[in-house]
Amino acid sequence: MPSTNFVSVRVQNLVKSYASFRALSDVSLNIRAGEFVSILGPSGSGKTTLLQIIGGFVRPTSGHVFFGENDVTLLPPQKRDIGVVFQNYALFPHLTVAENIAFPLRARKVSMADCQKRVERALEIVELKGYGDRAISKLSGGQKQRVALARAIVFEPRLILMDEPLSALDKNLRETMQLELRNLHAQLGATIIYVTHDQREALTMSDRVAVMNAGRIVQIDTPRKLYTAPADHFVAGFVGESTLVPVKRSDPRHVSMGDIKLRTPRDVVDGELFIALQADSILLCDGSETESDSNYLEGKVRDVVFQGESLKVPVILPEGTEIGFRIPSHHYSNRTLPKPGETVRLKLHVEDTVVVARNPSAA
Amino acid sequence: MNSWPRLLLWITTTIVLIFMVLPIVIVVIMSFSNSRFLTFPPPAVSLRWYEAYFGSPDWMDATWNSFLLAVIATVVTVPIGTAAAYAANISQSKMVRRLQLLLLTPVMVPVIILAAGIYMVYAQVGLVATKTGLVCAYAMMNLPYVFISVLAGLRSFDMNQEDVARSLGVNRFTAFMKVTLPQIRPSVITGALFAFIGALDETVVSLFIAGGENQTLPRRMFMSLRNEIDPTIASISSVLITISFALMIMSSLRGKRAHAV
Amino acid sequence: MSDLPLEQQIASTPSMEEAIARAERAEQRMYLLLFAPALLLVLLFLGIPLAILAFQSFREGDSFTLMHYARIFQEPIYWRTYYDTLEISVIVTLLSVILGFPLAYAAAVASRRWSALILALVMLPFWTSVLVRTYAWLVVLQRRGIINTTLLNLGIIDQPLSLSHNFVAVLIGMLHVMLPFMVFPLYAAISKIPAELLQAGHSLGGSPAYVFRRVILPLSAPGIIAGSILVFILSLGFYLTPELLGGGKTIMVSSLVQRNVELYLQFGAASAVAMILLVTVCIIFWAVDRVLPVEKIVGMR
Repeated sequence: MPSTNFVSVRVQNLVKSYASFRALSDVSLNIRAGEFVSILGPSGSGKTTLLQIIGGFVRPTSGHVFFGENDVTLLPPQKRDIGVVFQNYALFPHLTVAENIAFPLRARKVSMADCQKRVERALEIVELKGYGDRAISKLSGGQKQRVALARAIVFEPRLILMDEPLSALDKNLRETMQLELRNLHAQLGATIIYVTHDQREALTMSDRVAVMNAGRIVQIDTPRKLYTAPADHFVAGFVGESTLVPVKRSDPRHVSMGDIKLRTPRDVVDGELFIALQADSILLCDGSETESDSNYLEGKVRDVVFQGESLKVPVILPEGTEIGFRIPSHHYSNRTLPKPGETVRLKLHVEDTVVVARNPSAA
Repeated sequence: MNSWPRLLLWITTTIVLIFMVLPIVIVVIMSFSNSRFLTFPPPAVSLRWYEAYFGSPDWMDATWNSFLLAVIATVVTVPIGTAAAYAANISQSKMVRRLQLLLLTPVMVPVIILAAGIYMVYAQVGLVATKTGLVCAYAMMNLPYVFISVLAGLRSFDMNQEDVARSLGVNRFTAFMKVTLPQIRPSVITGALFAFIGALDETVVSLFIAGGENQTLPRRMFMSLRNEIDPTIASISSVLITISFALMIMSSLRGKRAHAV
Repeated sequence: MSDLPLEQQIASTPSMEEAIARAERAEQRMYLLLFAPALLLVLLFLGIPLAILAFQSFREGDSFTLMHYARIFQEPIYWRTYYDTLEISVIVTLLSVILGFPLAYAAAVASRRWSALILALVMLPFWTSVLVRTYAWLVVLQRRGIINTTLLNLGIIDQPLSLSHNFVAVLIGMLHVMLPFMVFPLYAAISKIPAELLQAGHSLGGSPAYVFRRVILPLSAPGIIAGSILVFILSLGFYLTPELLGGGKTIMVSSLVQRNVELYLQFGAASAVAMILLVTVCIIFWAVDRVLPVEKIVGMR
């Protein structure tokens, strides 16, 4: 279904106030045509409100939404040409699979023959060929998910919105569907806005991720950048598996954590600073090792926990903070594992030494 | 539970259930009696009281009238109540929530007060003993049942579906007709059944404002009951019981189907 | 909130904000419009009649007066009727709880099939016209009704007993009509009590009476309250059954209203009687609303 309908989306200074609280405070966002952007945030951060305003289900208090060059802020959903997939799929249970998918085509008065052809095609794309006559209640969770997807793409919308569409699926299915969505995105060239609270999902699928907190977009960047250069302590804490430890700036290129001096890849400005210690960027090393491009830490092992593909090792730093690092499972036969109570030496590459400032408006 | 409280429970339950059902059973049996008198059991079985009912133009007129009024009142009440329930369910405005309580007042005000008040108003504007007057009164009285029933249906309906339908390209009204209504149909039908049976059985208000050409069946029955025991009433009652029974089964089947989906 | 600095930073043009607000108002107007027919129906055919009643109750000829209210307190027939109405409503409510509770409890603990049967047997009279049910009791109770003819035929009595047209007959008839209104909310409340809770009571060594008092009764209280209010209020204004089974004696306030309107054309007196009844009902709802929302009670049907 090659489509050239897909548009860029521009959100400009959106504010949404309810009687007692402000769901969105001055949110602006530019999404290129064909881009896959995730909106990532904890619950209550305003990400669903943002999606609902883009979809036209909720009106903002002020601000604009543009599809391409058109201001659609006041356009009702039925005139926006958007495919929407909700968390609970919102399939119509009184209609069959094919009737569900044909719904947007019927609404557009597409001829019967054409309609049938396009439904077939959509079913093929989501790999549900031959399921057209099934009742919705007879489908599994994953199948419902695919039908919802087929229904959202069959009429060649200008934009696809997804609100936590995979959160009701079990882990394995979720991971499969993530890859399929990624493929579908490439295949359709669709502009997709994807709301999730699962950072791993956002990082896996998206071209860019917008991290939201307390009604604002804190950072919008590529997944890689979010990891290596988080904008503030909130993003650093939310993305990856990291522990924030307070540090002090000693000179533009060094911070001190207790007695330990750590070199940073970029200049740091003064303020309330934290180092974000990502569990998988910390490596175990020999007591004697010193390389110029690494920082070194020491700590006492509290425990060693087997977690399938890796082992997690919580370590207590001299000043009392607990951090964690991982050892890949396949390493552990040819390496002596640290034991609880033992003091270990850890290294952190300078490039992975991420220092962030506290953002006073974030929680 | 020990055995004696349990025994006591079942004995009481049985007695109360007999108390509830027996009078109805007796009326049905008596309707097939051949006697003018209330001898129980009836000396012989006959259909004479049914013949008396179906053969009487007066009774038939009243019956037909009541049916017609009940149907019209239902047709008026259901859309009005459904529209109000939809608005009450979706609107965030505080005013609508307040007004909602107002729609429940017809079941809170004693019927005799309704009847007296409506009579005084109708007497002024010439609506006494008119179809319009009766239909309006019935529609008002049964509105809460439709409203409550449909509102309950909408509350358990996932409004996301309407949003999705709109995003797929239909307007609000079409979204409601094609997506919402088919799924809340059981509650709409239950509301309609209540409205219908309510209008069909309504006695007190029609005692005050029906009459002349627009006689209703319950009013006529009431008048006849005040005078003497005419066994024809037994046959009419049996017919009404049968209708109630049928509607009750219909509504409970609807309920079951709604659960199954 | 418009003086917040944030609002000033935002570059949204005022016309846009206005347009959004306008769209918002249009939507609210649409909801109000959907609501309007129902509202109009209630205002026209309930609001106006009640207003007329209130107006009439203060009026005699062309002047305003309190005589209709004064008379209610002066003439024994009036205040006695109020007293009797209250008394009979209280008795009916109490009897409904006493007889309805075992029924609701049995329906809640019985197996599915038995439970469905019990509820259906309560449902059937509930769906049957009140007039028909009252007639049924007339057939059973009256002077030449089933009980009397049977007893006479069997030679047990020589004179028919006077079973109808009295207080007890009214009580029986009303109870029959009111019981379902008690059973349904009670059943809803009791069936929500988890079975484990009842069993837990036993395993902790409680006697059945103890478990009933400490577990079942408190947890079914919302049902008892809802059912009682419903039965009590419906009883206060009940007309049909008391009128027919009472045999033309004025027993309840409702008959007083009816006679003043239809027999004596005393609209003022009828209105005053009705207003006092209405105010009583309103006070009860208002008081109960603090414990249990009115929507919940009314929605139980």
